Amino acid sequence: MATIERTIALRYLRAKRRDSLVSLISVLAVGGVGLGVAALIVVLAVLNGFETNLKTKLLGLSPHVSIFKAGGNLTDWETVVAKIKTVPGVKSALPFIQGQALAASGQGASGVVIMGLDPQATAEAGFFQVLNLDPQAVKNLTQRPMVAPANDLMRLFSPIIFDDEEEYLPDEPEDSAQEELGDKSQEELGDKSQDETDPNPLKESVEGSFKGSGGQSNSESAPSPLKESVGVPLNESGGQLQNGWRDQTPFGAATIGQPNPLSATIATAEAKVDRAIPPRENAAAKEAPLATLASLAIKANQRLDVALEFAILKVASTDKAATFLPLGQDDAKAATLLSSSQDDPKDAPVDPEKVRPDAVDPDKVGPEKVGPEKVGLDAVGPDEDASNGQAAAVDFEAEAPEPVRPILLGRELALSLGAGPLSAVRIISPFGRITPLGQRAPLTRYFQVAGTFQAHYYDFDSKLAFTDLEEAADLLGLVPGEVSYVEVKVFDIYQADRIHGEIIELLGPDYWGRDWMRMNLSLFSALKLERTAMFVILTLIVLVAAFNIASTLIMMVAEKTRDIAILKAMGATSAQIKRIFTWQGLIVGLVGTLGGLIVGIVLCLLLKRYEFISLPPEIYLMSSLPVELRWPQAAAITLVSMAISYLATVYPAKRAASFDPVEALRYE
Amino acid sequence: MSRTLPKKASAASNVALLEARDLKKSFLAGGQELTILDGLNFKVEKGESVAILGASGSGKSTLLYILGGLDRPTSGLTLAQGQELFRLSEPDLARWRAREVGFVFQYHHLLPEFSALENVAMPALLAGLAPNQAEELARPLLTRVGLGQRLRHRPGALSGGEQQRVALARALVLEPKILLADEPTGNLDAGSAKMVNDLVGDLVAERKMSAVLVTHNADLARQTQIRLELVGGQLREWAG
Repeated sequence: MATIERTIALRYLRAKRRDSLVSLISVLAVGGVGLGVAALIVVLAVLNGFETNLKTKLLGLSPHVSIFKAGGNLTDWETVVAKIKTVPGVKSALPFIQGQALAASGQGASGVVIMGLDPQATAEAGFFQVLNLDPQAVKNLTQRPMVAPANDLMRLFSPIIFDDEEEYLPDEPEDSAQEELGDKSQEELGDKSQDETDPNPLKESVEGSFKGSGGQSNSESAPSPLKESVGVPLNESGGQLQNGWRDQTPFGAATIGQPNPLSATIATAEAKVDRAIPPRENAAAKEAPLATLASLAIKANQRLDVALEFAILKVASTDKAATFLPLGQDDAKAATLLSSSQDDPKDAPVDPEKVRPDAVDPDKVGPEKVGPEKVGLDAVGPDEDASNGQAAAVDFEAEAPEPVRPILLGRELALSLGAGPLSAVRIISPFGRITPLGQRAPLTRYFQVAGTFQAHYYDFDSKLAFTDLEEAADLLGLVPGEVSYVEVKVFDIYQADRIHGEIIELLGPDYWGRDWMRMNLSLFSALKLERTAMFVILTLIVLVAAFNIASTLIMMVAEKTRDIAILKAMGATSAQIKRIFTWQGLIVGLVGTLGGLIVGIVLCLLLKRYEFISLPPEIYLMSSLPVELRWPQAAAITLVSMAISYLATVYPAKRAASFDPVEALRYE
Repeated sequence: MSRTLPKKASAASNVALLEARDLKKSFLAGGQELTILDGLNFKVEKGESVAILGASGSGKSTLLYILGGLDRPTSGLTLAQGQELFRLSEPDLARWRAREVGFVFQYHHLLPEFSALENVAMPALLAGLAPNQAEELARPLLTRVGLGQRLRHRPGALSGGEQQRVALARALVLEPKILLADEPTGNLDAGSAKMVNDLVGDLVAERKMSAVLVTHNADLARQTQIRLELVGGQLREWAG
């Protein structure tokens, strides 16, 4: 029906000249519409992307629904979880413990929210995906024990800072026995090659620790190297071994800003060990005992530095897996043992072959010497080492060293604490034991960083730390089996409201909850409003394009008054004339809209694929411009654009139709 | 989509094909009222050819436009086979014009963006015929006026005489009953003019059409049966 009008309209859009296909004016009109449509598509897609990203992050990180018990913690969380799972639409229900604590390291302290969780179940529920956690870290969190390789052990100690060193300076050695020990230990460790003036930190610390009953420690007359060494606490007199060192925390009292002396110690110690033990056995020999000792020490809140010294000592004195001293049991024994092994004249320096306590000639040294004390030392029965004259291999697994407590830190938190993987951090909780005075003493526990996570959400990355339920309960003073709340995730987030209601109904009046909608309603409403506003604003571009079409058409009509007259003379009705010019506008609108759609969509796909606009992730929670095309929106844009194009034609076409042909015909 | 040719009015022999009764046409020019046609009466019967002569600006064209339903008189009637033209609705009038009247103007008034063939076919296309049907009507006409080889040319590529011949063909494509021509050769040189004039005469005679030809040209005037003169807003016999 409208073929001829459309044909005429199309012909009028073409150029007058044969060679160019479209007139410039048509191109401009089409371009205007296309630009508006493309802009709308791209900008809206980006806004969609931002909103979705934010929503995913927030919803990934926040609970969809949280269930609490009135008046305190949930004691029966398994039942609660089971009940919750019966509600349709629930994806997962996990228990969490949450509490405030203080995290401290050598570098600083930071308030931290401790989140206790069930690592296995939580990982399965996909909770950790949002946190960009290394799967190994999750594994570390779930598996026990966590053992640190020797190299990383160094990091375990770092950065450790000590209080005013003065406190820890040893007194001038009075005891000659100490001298003896000192020399001997030097010999033992093959220090002969060492520079005399080179302080022997090992010796010093050994002395310092074990001025025990044997009184065998001695020290050099040289100025105490302890200044640079581990701060071994000595009593004033330098005499009897006090419990002092045992009361010390493994890291000593912390003072911010002090250099870490222990790294030098460790380096030196390791060097000694390297010299003492043949290379092929080095790794195995070092690794296990050091790690185990360290973990033991941490668990028992003992001085790690001392533990390390011991480990190195013992390792140096054997050539295979060393016996080790279970610290905390008996210092006297320890001292005796140490002194006894060092006493042994058969213990030759350096030579690995000779560096075996039991390798001493059984003939020369009777089994008595390596008797009961050795029992304490060894993990194995006394008969064994007596019989085969070899250092009994210790089965570390059997000893089941206490595992180091694993903890996951947010990246920002880890950075501010200067903690890396396998570093130790101190967590101080205000919910400690009740002292005899009736107050709660703060509780300190040492954790080892199993990994860091990064949610790209500052609040999380700088405040959260995850550990397992038992540790968290222990730390925060919860009864074992208690949790703070149950977090529920649902399949359809828009159902969260309803599901929340159903859960509460199911659980009864003792329980209450929160859902994400209530908590974030204002945020998402604001986002929606912003998007609507953007749509309106961008539609203005299309409106401008429409004005473009209108003015183009008016010009064309003015240009073609004569043609209109001719057409009318030929029998064209006014309606037909109107249709011709309406078609002109519609064609421009259609081509422009389609062109704009294609350009816009292509641009979106390119942006998504190649991400050539990047964002600073700290500010925007994401690293590049997010793009999300939504087809209903694209359809809406198309309709709006076509509608506006059509409306732009109404007035010019009407004018054309009502034009009096005689005017043009007469004044030719 | 195709449609059959618009239905033509059956010609009752006693009613004039085209009649003007007491036509008055005046309009404002420069603040003054100008009366061009003053109570004019005029009739054209079927098959009659009439030449209307007169000085320039005397209103010959105006009369022609009114007769063709393009312009409205200030007062008076225009009747086409007894039917008042200006009682018709605008679409009906347009359709009548398409069916019954063929216009040729002084200036060719061809559509420059279309080829000769398309131009000639245009009235048929506007009337709703399918393109191929319209072309079938247009082609023989163009050949008849001697432009069978120039079908695809645009008006810009044709000479004045050729353009007028195309215009003539276009006027006749829907086989109207009456040809209304306003100085068809006014702009042409003598040779072309003669060719066109002869064509007009031939075609009108061939198709037994009525014709009202406004002209200066005595040659053309001599080809018609009746010669009238427009003087003082009125028609009278042409003397000379």
